Amino acid sequence: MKPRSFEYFRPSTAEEAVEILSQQDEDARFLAGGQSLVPLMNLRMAAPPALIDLNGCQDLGYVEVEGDELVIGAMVRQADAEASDVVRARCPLVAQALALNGHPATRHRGTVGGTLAHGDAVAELPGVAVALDADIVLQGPEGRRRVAAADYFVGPLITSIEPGELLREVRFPCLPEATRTRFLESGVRAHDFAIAGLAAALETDGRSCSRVRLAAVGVGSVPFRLSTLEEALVSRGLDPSLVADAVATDLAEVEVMENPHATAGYRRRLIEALARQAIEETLREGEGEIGG
Amino acid sequence: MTATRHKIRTRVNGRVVEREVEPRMLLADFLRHELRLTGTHVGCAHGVCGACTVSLDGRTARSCLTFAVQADGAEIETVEALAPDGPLDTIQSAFHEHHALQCGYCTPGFLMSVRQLLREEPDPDETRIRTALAGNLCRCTGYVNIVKAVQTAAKRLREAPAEA
Repeated sequence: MKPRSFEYFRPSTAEEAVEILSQQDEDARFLAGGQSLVPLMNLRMAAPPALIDLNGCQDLGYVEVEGDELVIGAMVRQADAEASDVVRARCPLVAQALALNGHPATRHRGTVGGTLAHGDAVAELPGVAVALDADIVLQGPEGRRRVAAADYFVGPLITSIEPGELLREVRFPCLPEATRTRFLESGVRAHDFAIAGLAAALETDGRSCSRVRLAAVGVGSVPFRLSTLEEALVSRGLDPSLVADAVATDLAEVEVMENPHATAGYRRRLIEALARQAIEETLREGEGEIGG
Repeated sequence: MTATRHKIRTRVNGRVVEREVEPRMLLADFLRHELRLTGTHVGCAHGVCGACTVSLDGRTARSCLTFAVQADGAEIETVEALAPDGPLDTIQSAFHEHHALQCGYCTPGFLMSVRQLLREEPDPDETRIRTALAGNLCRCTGYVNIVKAVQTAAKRLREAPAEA
């Protein structure tokens, strides 16, 4: 099928984009990389009467460190953020997650802001944002506001972006150098939509942990923290045998998703397995360093 | 409902083209219907199969997920750029020799993705090849011969890089 007809605007600044949106029908949409919105339009599951193309907004393409935050503008391509030395040095979990986000051809177009604005329950970057308590900065006609990732994701494909607002940037905390990070996921086909995934950042000497941040995607309707497991690993050390009970407690609060690819029970087992894998790999990483 | 048409100027396989397009026209349809470059195939039309992969400003992109109007000022290369008038290029020859296609529907997309991969990584191992091509679906070959073709093409391009 082909998309329904729409009016097209190409502003050159974020401010102009917000202004154009304010003059359009409430169903008008911003167009970033188009890797999620255009499929929906081709399938006619979305039919916005107007698209405001952000690809001309040079002022949304920055990667900067401000104090202890890594700031990424909405229109930074996923492939560029993944390859960025600054991102890899200050918040490697972002690059690790983006490497699993789609394919080279979709990452060349797809943007950091786009995946956060789309808010798919199994997307990688939202999991990283929740794990690391990132802030999302929204820009509207009245100015900007910062929303904590935990409050930003509301439901599947639902975020707290209000009508008239533009997702301007995301601010991740820079991670201490000793942080061991990894993004793990499993799906039917590698690099396609995962069934579930885990964002993990562990500040550890290889045995005890001073701080652990873990978030699951593809399990609940939004990414969420495995806070019981985080606390268990901090208080009792890096021990894979802590996973089963702690994850069971964490999942007791969550309505676990089900679809034809995986039952709720499978997802529970999967997130447990990914958590165990994250701990085991971190332990091995520690041994490698001591041995090497 | 007819939307305002926009004039675009773009360079496709080295040739400057100017057209007026409706915003909803996908880049894949623009290439095929307006420019008659039918080497770019449309498989799924929602970004899953990779048959419509082209190069947009030097990097692979799905032409079914980009609107032609967005290509204003851009540099596009399609599969027709690989061997404009003459014999098959290195990657195409390797696909031919290894029987890396049967019906050929997915092949243009594979060729464009392989070209991107080998420009970035001249000596990818099998895992890298399979990962880099995971966004291109082939229902005929089972991928084994495609991987072999990529390995052969990579070897030849390393020995004679000028052809890349």
